[in-house]
Amino acid sequence: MRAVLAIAWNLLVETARKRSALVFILLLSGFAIALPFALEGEGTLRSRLQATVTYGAGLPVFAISLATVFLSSGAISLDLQRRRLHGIATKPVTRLSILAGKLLGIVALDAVLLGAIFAAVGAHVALGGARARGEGDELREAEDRFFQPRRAVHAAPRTPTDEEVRRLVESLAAVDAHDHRGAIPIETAARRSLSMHRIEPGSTAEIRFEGMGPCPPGSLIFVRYALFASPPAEAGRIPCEWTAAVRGGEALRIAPPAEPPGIPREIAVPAELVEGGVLRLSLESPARSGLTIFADPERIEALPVEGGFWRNGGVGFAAVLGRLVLLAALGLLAGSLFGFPTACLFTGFIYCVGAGSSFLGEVFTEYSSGVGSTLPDALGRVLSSVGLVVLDALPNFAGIDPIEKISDGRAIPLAELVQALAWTACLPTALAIGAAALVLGRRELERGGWE
Amino acid sequence: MESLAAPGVGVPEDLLVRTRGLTKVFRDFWGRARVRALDGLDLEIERGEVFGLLGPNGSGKSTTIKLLVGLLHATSGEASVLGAHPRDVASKARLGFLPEESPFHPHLTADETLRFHASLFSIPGRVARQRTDALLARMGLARDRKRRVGEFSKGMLRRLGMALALINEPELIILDEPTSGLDPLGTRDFKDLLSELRKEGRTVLLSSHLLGDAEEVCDRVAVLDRGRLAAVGRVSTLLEDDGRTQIVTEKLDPATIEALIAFLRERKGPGIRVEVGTPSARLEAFFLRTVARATDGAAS
Repeated sequence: MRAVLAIAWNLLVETARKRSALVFILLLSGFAIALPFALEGEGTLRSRLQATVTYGAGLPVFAISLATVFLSSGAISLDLQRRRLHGIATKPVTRLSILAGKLLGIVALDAVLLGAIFAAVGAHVALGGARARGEGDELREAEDRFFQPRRAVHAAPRTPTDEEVRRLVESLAAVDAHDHRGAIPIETAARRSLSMHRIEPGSTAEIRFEGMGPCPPGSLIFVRYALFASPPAEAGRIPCEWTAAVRGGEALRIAPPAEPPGIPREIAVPAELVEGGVLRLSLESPARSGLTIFADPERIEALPVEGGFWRNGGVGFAAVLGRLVLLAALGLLAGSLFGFPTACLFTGFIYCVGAGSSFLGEVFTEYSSGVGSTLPDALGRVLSSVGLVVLDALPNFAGIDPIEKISDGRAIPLAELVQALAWTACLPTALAIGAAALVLGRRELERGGWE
Repeated sequence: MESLAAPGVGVPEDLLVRTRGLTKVFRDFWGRARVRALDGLDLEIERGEVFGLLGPNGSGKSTTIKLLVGLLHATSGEASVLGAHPRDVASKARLGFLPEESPFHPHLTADETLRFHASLFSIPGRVARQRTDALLARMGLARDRKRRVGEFSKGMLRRLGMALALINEPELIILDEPTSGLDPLGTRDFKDLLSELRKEGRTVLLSSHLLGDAEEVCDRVAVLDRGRLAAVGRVSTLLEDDGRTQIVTEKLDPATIEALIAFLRERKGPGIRVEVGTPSARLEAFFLRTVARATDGAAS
């Protein structure tokens, strides 16, 4: 353990004393401190604060990620190239200890830089909030939608009966037999369609949100939703009315303005409506006859308050650091396998693909389910399928996007963080370091030959 | 292929280094043999001796040393260092190594470098500080302990490297070209240090292409040539010339020399080959005397 700590400390001191590191830290600090002053957002307090978090923390985190790619890729490969590793490898230190020490040093450095960035952004947010005190609605909006993180709870889907599913499958198969693309099995499509709440004119549907957890009394729960209607051509603006039973009081009725199909809308209900962790609302259709409203549970979410802004920031810090730990481990593995430039490219590629995996996943899915019969279409489908396999194999750095969540006032649940860190950071990190130790053990340190 | 199966088993305790048929072939990217750097080397180094590995450039000295400290993997044959495989981690606690080059972290000071390496041996902090102080003083680097290693001259780096090789008070010290980059004073210091290590009973394996240095400090030497062992034995035995006799006396006048030559021809026949000359001081001794005189003059 002493050797691991010594190697970590050595890396930390060595890096901190480099002129290039000093320039990087100064630029980063200047950026984090100065940028938020230049950000106005849409002019409101909330949007200014959001811009402060999104850019003031987002861009430096990206820069720290790139620095981690360089630092971790060079920690082994450059030490090998410059023969500095020889001095350590000829001591009673295992290859695993060397790698653990390097990883610890890089993570400590990342933690210090990240901590400084989060502290600078936190100071800006605190000062920004303080400056705006007394500005009424603006402050309330910032409090409700920025400083109070909210967790998203999707509405429970409607459970169709087997008979309903059978009938819809039959009708779909009969009508759509020649046009069905096969991307989604008919039964899945049918179940998905039947899981939507269908509200005929004058009738209501119960929209249930389960697992709401304890909500702070006196707080508001935002309910975001989008509605669709059939027939679509006649929908125009869709009216609706939300109602809820209030214990010992008059029922709550909210009639928001009518909006076109698919446009996100929002209402606010008191937290006291939650009973036993379940929020029950009724959605009524005051629409004219002949228009059916569809409410997709996946497009309806309740946003109860969970934790505070600073706690959310702390969890976000841990999530970003977890991502950097994995990145550093991958860099060390690459540095054990290749020379510095190749290791940098390799780690950078994995980081870029991992960071854009959501977008790439959508693109590949769209292409892989294409129907064209020409050679380029077939080739595209094959490549997209390979792309999807590669995406599955590589770590998903966009899994939890803490900066975006903090900026949007979305809570990062601790359980989600722990699960994400365990499966997308700890396990792959352990595998990467284990593989790197194996590689270094089999590799000749002097000339790069293999046993 | 290199045997990884406990090569130390059966090696007598007093043999700190033993190689059997040690061979190293360097291959290119495609696995084709390019250079046979070492070819079936058999070597034994006993506890307490200073052993020199001699040979011209490319003879396999450094390759042998890198195989012995585990930086290279043997193509075939086996090696045992301190009774264990060269890549055995635990046995490295008893080994000191000075590589041919001294690639230290340039932003650390000499003091930090030594304490970092002491930590790698898990030497407790207080002991590490004591050893660091003593070694820096012994190597003449006490005044430069707070200077960054990147500012050191090549000679100072060698001294620091030597200090690092001794930080764990090793049983076996392997030195690759230890006097490379040292000035004559540094070389003298190094030879004195080797004498001290020998007195302490430590075993030293050093490689050098400076034959004079090796002759002065080594108990036994091995001469390598193109990866093969050309000769091995005690220095005095190897240098003994059975066919000649040397007589050294005070300076003689020409008449006495003539008389001596005549006497030898009379006894051994007119064909005897006699060389007479004035022995010259070795340049190293001359240099040391001159520097000492200059230093004394400056001091007075």
